Amino acid sequence: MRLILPLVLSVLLGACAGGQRFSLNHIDLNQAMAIGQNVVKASSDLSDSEEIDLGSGIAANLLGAAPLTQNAEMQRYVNRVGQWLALQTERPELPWRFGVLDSANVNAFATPGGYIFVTRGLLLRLNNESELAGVLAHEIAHVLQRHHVSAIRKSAGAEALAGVANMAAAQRGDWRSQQLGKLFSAGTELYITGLSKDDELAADRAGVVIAARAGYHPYGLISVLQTLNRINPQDGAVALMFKTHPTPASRMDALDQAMGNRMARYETGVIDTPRFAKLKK
Amino acid sequence: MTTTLLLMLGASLQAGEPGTIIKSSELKSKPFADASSSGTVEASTRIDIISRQGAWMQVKPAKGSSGWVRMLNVRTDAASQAADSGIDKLGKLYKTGSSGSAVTTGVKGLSAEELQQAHPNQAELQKMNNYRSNNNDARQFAQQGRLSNQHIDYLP
Repeated sequence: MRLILPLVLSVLLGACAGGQRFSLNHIDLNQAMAIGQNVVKASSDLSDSEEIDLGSGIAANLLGAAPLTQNAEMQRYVNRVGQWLALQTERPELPWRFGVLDSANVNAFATPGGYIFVTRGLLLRLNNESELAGVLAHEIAHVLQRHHVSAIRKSAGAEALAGVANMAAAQRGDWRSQQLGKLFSAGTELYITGLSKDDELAADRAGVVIAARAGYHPYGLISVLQTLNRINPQDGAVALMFKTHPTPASRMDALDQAMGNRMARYETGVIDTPRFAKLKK
Repeated sequence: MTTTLLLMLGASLQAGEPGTIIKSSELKSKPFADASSSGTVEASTRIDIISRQGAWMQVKPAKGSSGWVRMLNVRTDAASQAADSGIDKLGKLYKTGSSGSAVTTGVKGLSAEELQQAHPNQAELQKMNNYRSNNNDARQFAQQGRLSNQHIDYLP
């Protein structure tokens, strides 16, 4: 985002010199974007730093709905499991951050740029460290494959995504925060409507592999799905998660088909560690 | 004493979860592919899940003795009421300020409505940043957990 700032400013200054009048305080978004696109490549792909900015805005909203649990040891532990998993992926350099949300809801979230959340309600239902790894790896996969960025682009349009990010960088004060706020709210809506079924199944497939790469037993995620399958869909704690994901049973069917015997040789992986049990006490 | 209680609690959470075999499976004496087989459980057989170990579940069919089957050949049953699940009860023990009611229309914190109305919390975001790990920290953590990484291709 910062790299684009000088470009956008030069467009604005150039336009002013050309006789067009601009008021930064009352700038028309469509007009601004139309001009911006002439010089700033209307990049359908966000840079890493733009993606991180977008993700941090959405993450702040999620944290507005539920804060972190006040357990520093737990937060650090989840960050270590997560960072070790992220190191096994094609985007190890992202500033990965992991957080346990203080909510009895059973759910996990990822936002663009590497913010990963798991709720206290889900964490309490996990039996061992490989299950935690499976959940985090599924969320990491959403970030690797930029599922949320693509979904926002699809719903808001590529121009809105690239344009708002670009133009917002050139703005000050209320206008900036209002436009960004709108984008972040649109992004947050995604966690209510959910990603596509294909995205979820792709994240499952990649998650199983990432956990196994990190030395964990590949069945951590599958074991969590068995636990989720046990929960009554009418239970309010799972309402949002069930609404936004394929059923646990259908996710297991898809994993069974995708895995076949391919992961069998990694079943010597770590299932649990003493530190996990200590943490849950 | 406390340890024993905890162990019992832990065991009771796992024991007797109902489920169904979804495809004909060999019943193994141990959770290994090359363990001796004590027969076959057919698809649709109702079972109780006694424990889990990696890719395996120890199950007890209504008729016959217990053994180990591949976890993906089993589907746990959905609890008919949320309170059926022992794990659920454990969750409620931890839940502060819980009314303890088993079924709710939404749980405070991350319902659709609350996400819609959420205001950004920058202070918590900053806190989250402060808990970040780093590569050396993560590698040390892996070593402590006897986790060794390996190259594996993504599944197609």
